[in-house]
Amino acid sequence: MPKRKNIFFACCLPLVLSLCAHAQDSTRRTLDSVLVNTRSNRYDANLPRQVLGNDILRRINPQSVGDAARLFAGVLVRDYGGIGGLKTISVRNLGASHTGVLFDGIPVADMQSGQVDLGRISMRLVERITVSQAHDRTPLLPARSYASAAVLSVESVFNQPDTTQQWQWGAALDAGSYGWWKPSIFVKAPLSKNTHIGALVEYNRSKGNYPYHIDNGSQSTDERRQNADIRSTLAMVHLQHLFADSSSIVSHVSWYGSERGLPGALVFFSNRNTGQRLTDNEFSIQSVYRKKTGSRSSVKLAGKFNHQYTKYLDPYFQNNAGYLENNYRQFESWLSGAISYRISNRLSASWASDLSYAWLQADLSNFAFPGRWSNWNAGGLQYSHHGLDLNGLLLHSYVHDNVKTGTAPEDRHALSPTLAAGWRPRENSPFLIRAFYKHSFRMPSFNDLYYVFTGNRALRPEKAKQYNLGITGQWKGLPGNYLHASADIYYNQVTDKIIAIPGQNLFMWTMLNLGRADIRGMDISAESGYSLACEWTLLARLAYTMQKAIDLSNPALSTYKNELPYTPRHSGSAFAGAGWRNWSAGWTAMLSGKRYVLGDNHPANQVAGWMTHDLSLKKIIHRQRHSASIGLFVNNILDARYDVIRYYPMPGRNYSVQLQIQQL
Amino acid sequence: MKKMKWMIPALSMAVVVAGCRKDDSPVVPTPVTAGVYVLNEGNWGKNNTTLTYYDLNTSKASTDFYESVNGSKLGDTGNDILIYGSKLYIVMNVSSYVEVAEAATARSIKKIEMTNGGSDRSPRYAIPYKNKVLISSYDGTVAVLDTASLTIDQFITVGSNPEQMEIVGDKLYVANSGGLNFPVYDSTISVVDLLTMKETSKIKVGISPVKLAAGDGNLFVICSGNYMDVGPELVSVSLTTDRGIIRRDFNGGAIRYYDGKLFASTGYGAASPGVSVLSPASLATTTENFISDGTTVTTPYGLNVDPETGDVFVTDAKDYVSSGEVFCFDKTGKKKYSFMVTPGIGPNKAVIVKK
Repeated sequence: MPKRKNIFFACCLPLVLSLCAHAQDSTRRTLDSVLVNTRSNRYDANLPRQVLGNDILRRINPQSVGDAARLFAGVLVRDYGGIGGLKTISVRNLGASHTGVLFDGIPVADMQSGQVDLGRISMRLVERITVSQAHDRTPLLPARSYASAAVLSVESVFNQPDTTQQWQWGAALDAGSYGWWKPSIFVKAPLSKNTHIGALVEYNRSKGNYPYHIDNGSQSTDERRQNADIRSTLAMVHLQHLFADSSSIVSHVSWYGSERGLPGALVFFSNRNTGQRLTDNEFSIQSVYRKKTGSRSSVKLAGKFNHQYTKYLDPYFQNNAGYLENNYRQFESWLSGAISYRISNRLSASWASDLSYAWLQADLSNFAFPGRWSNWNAGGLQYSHHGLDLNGLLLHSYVHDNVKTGTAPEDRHALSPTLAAGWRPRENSPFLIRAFYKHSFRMPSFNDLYYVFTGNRALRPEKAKQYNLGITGQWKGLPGNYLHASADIYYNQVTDKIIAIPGQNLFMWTMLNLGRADIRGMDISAESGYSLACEWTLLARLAYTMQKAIDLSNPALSTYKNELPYTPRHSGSAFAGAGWRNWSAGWTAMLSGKRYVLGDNHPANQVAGWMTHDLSLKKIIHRQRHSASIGLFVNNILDARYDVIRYYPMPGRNYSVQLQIQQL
Repeated sequence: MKKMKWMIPALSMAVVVAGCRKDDSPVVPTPVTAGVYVLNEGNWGKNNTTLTYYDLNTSKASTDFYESVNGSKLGDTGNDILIYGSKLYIVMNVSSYVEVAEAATARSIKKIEMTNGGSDRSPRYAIPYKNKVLISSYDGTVAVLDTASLTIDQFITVGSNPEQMEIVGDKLYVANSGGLNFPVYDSTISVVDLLTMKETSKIKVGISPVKLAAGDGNLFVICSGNYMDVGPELVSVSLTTDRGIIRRDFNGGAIRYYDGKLFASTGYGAASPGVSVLSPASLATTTENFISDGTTVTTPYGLNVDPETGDVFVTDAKDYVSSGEVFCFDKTGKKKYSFMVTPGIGPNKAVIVKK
């Protein structure tokens, strides 16, 4: 059982480190059990949430939000390998389409696929990433953010109001293995006392030609990934203005363009360059207006317009033309209003309404040209008294689709209730016991409904019920010394699961509401920080998930009551970091237990677990307002051969360096 | 061609390895008694094509038989399997090669790469003809493989995305599906003169012909339709008279002609899945359900008839992502035996090993 030992090691190391560290300094032997302000802490809430802050993010230097998300308990990142590879997350095995994504409080959505590629969200300027179960409890969020089963929220430096009256700028260069270059530059400047502008430009390119091993017994070979290159550019302009009445308006314009190869799954005996290319151009503009409308109430208005162009090219397609090119254009306009009102010291209420219209164009024959009106309305109540905290939220979702060819599906309505309770045994107790229930829906995406051949307009929304019971505790000592820990057990039920059923030949798949899944699991997470003598600081973080997700779709099939594909029983991550004066170092480990790659839990379909270790070392030099830093990163230092999705190999040991200068 | 450079050492290695194994392989060849091979195509991109060997004496099915004999997997999307002479031919569509193995042992003899420059030919079906095996490929060709030298003599150009083939006399009929040409598919059958190995004419049948059977001087064709306003149909072309074409709307999965009967399995999404018997002359249904003992086949996929015994093999693809099953019925439609091909997915053809 060497794998068990690994898990044990991974679980215990941060604690051991923390204890050792603690013992070194006898003056800090007793941890003060001080209740921390709920807003500033990372785990303490009725709805389970986990935060990855700047302190850790800076040390692990993830290449994208998708890489960072691997550090959360209960989150499985579907990673197709490489910088250009698709990365989606599934929280507690509900699937990527049940996870909402917020960037600075504004929903990021892809109506075509229903899933957001987290590989495309830049980590530059990200201050923190939060995963919240059920929904995010940040005040005045749009109604749409309550629609998913879980929310991944990314907050950038632009999310905080800027009041500085000086120019700020920074430049960074990342370079690493397999032809990776990522220069970026940002500027923040005051236009007037109350108006600030900021801009970011980032260029990213990678050849992605990493070596890997094809394991096929006597026919095994060593290869290099082909057609896995990417070039992308991100440009962002940010404008904020504070009005005299302390209300604010924040606007954001961003453009992302990329051109990449789609290397595809590795195919035995035919591991040729697929030649397939994907081009993206995405433009979005968003604005948020916030105002405190009295001592008891606040309002927020937000709007967004988004346009995404995608071109897919297959130069070897075996039709008469000899190639296939598809062009897609996706548009969405979205408006939201939210209000919160404190009724009494114990009771407060909130309301949010969103309206969106999205449409999709494609140069496909017989294409439906779907358009979708969506309306979300959410009302919430919160009651707090004597250590008891109760929340109720009811979301109504309404969807109306129109199409140019064929008949549109019926309008869909769904009610999503969330009930949450937290209870603290004593007023100053470090412990909080929590429970929640949520019934949520995912509307079928445009691809589910209208994709030529596979789309099925009769699809119903997929339903997810979540039940959670947990405990969280936190202790805070002298500044910089803290320990948060939480453990939750959960039971999820997915019904009317939308699954693709292949048909009589390669061209006929169809989407059906056939699936049912039961998911039972436990998430454990902990984070601890210590400041020691002689300018030493220590930081440790741990996330562990145990889950069992079984397929209850069809008793007649061999997959019945089998574990769902890609749902390891055990998975987790650990981080340990140390800082001394201007130096900081970090160790990150990722772990996945064995899992099945197909629904049939036959040994032939089982793949071994894997573990990776990453190391980092960083030195920063401060000169008044200027700072310069150099970081060295070694990822997968033990050169583990593994893939997250079978036959999409992940890179082995690789290196990168980061140079940064800034004036803040 | 640059991309292909690595393939040369890789392939020569494969050949060397395969060649060596004949002499000094640690795997002792299992003597194979009369049984059934089943090709399980697996799922696209998952390299999980498997071969099942069902032993008629022990009534045991072993999957993946190919891997247990050869120590390596077949690869991605095995589309057709054929025994001709002493050899077994497996057509690997996505892995784009043809596996040639000893029929008795499934021991690999050679992998015949089906590529054209840097791109895959994507072979689909194989049919034997006078010491040759003819292989249709999605790139619009039929390869002529010499069964002695195991090299390809030539490629015959046919229509787009050819699928199944039939041979009547010295004529080869190829179903040109044009399946990758949505929304305007092909709708012809290529006629190839096997004495000259040239396409001589094309017969127009219906939209996207895919499956073929021949008998009674007729060619029977399942056309998929265009998945929009034209549905699937069954077409009969007389090869001996000029009576023209008979057609009927028919959602058929596979067709086989045997002993004056046309067997057809139900196609995708059929309300009552099963196998029916049709009249070759009129295409009218003579027996609604060939399976006479109440056995249920969830999703009939492959359909074969043992020409000697008249046993009918029906493979059951279930939901195409879980383990499949194979049924053998006697002439009267009574089940003789059945077996699961676990963990094989999408069994698409059963072939009989005679010894």
